[in-house]
Amino acid sequence: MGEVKFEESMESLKEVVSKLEREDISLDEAIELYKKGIELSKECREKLESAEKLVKTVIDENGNEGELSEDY
Amino acid sequence: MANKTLTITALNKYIKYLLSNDSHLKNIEVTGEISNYTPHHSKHMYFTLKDDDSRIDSVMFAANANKVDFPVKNGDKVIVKGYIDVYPPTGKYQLYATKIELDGIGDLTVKFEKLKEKLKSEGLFDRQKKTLPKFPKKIGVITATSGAAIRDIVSTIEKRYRLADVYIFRTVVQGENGKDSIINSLNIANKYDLDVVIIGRGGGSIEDLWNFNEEEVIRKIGEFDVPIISGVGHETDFTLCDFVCDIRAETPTAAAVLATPNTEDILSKFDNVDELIRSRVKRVFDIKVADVNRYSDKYLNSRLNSIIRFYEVSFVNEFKRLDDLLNMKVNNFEKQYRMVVSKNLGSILNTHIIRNKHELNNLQNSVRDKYINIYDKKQYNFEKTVAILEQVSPLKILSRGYSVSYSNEKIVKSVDDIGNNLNILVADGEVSMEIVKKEVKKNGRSKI
Repeated sequence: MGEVKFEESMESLKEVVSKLEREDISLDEAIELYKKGIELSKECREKLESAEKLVKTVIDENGNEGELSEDY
Repeated sequence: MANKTLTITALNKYIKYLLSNDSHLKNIEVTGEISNYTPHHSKHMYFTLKDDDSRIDSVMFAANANKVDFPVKNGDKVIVKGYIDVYPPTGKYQLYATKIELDGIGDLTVKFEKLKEKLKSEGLFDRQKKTLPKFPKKIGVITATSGAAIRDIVSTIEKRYRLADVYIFRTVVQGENGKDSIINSLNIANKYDLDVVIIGRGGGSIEDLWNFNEEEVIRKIGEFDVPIISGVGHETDFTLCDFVCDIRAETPTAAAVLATPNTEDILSKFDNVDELIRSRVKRVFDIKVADVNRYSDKYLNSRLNSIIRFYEVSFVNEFKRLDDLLNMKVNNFEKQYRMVVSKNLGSILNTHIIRNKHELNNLQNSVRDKYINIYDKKQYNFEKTVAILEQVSPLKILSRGYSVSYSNEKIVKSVDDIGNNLNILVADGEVSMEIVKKEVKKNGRSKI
């Protein structure tokens, strides 16, 4: 699911940024994180922008699923 | 009389006189709903009292308003005691309230307060509040599937964050079935692995919202595993649901805002994130560069110096040793060289000299031979010439008795050739004479 991956990407991105905060980071590591971070940022952006319609499900009193009527 | 012209002041005064003296309007009790009420700094209360078909502007002066023992708000159904009067400057008649009481629901307010105290003392409202997810994947909504609340919630989520899926649990939120319906929806929602839930409905009276004050409902929400947002009624409406939920939103719209991140905000943050990442990496570079500088400037230099000093001492000794060794070698070599040279050069030179001497001898001999040869030839020619010369020599003639006279180094051929002296050369010598007399002969002979 795109949504799941979005949240995970955001978490990874946060992790990248916080790792970059560390003082003991090596230069190679920093460059790797940089590449990863920019890639993740791009990925998240694309996911956000590609979501066109909100998916809505109605569940009735008996637990049956249906769609939200147009004139709700 | 009927056509007498009146001033407005006179007219309003007359109306005021009529109304304020009407015995029916002097002491009345009116039931209605409060609207258009906003607290006034003067502490006087101005509001409209209304029912379904009509309304009347009302005022309660501060002296009476201070005695009202409940927080008056719009939508309250009240019983107002007071009188009707006219305010002449505007000609407006109003209900002048002297006392306001909640109509019939006074017992609900008491019930609310009692239950609130009870649940609070149990610690139900003080339990650890759950944190709302930043990026919810599944959002549950417990409300009616028609009406302002669901419209506001869905449109707000749609605007802000379309990555989430919305699950709407159809619920009765008003009336006597509401309590069971809300509990039923909470039970169903619990099976949906939701990230956050909004529970709510639009505004209404305390009776309309009462299902959100029911003890069973509040306890059920207290047991709920998922973060839950209360969005019941308007800003001024408080229900026990607000206290038990993890967070209270003032309206259903506000609840939807709390439940979702704003896509626009996130997108604009990504620019900052990119920039942040870049600046962090640059900072790591800077740190590394600083490390390198530190090592080269201080640590490395001093380390290098100590190493150099150590080697300097070693080198001096080593150099000296090498120098000695070299000198010794040079000396040895020199000696050997001299030996070799003196031995070899001698023989080489000797060979050269011998050869050259030999060549010189040869040359000498050759030159001598040639010289001798030439000399012999010359000698022969000379002797031959001498023999010839001897035959024709005047000396030979002299030996036959002739002589030759000289004067002044010249042979005398005439008397005039003779100076003061005269030398006569004969075969065996020469005679010098002094001249006494010179005489020239007629026949050409001279007489001496």
